[in-house]
Amino acid sequence: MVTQEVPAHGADHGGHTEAHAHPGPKTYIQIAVILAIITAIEVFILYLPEMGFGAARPFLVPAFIILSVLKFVLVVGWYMHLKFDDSFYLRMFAFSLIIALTLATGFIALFHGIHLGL
Amino acid sequence: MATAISEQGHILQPAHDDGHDDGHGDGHGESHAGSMGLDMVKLLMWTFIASECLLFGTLIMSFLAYLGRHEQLAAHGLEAMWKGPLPHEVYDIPYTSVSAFVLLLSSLTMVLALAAAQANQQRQLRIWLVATALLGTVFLGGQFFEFTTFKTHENLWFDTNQFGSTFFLLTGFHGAHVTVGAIWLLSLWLYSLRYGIPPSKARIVEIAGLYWHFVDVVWIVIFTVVYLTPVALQF
Repeated sequence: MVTQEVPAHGADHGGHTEAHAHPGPKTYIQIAVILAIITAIEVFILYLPEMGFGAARPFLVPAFIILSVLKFVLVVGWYMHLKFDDSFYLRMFAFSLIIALTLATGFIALFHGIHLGL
Repeated sequence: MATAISEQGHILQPAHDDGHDDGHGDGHGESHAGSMGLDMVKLLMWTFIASECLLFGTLIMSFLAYLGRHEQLAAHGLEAMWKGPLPHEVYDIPYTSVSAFVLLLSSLTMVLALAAAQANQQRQLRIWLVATALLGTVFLGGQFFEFTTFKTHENLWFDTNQFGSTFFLLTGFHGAHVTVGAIWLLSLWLYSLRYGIPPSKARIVEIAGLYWHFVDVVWIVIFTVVYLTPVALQF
């Protein structure tokens, strides 16, 4: 059988690191439990003001952002294996995210700050 | 596909022109390493996902553009853009939370399907593939119910106001992606029934999984930005 050689775990290859072994089903289930708990926390804190904790309202959106970023990282890092695959994929994904977030920031600034004269 | 470790600690994999040990020999799912040592099929999927980030980013920004600005819009004579129900008046967060949970669960079944394919557990692979497609279908059913509720009970549709236009466009687009993903998974299931998906072809499950998880990741953002945030801010 003809074989080809590819770098193994953690090897540097052309400026980017090679893949590590993917996690197993046990880790995947643990991640799912964490994701479910985070989602439950998001819904719970949404109703804090109605439960008499009106002072929590200003902190809701920052909390949502932090929790959703956590969920995002868990899915992308573990389920999509970006944490374990070649770092080139991660850099490519991060690059597109940075462009999208930059465009979004400009867009929001334009519409909320300039267009409406605020 | 047999693999071995060389003396230098590198993994030895069969090249593309070898005889495949699964008996089908069509090469699908084999590693397509390019000059950078990267799997080109996987790289192509990540390129597609990168472009999708920009697409969904634009749709989400369209939703946010005038959110919570109805008073300012009215001051500029644009009150018709927000005539009709507002987000916090129509959303049913507990219901949407269940939908979000269903989609998160489908990501688990998807990644378990990949693990089964890599371990050559054909029966488990088929179960997890069908489970993922079914969970996606449940999510779509929930979205259909939400859309019809908005239209019939809340009088909210594409042409009602700016919220309706951007909401249905964004979530509808996401639903279309879920539909494509479910069809893709069912086709993989049919393929596995007919030919089987040995570990040497697990790559085709991984590529489908990347797409499915991305759809899930988009929903994580939509759930926070489009559902939770407007309700928290009473927009």
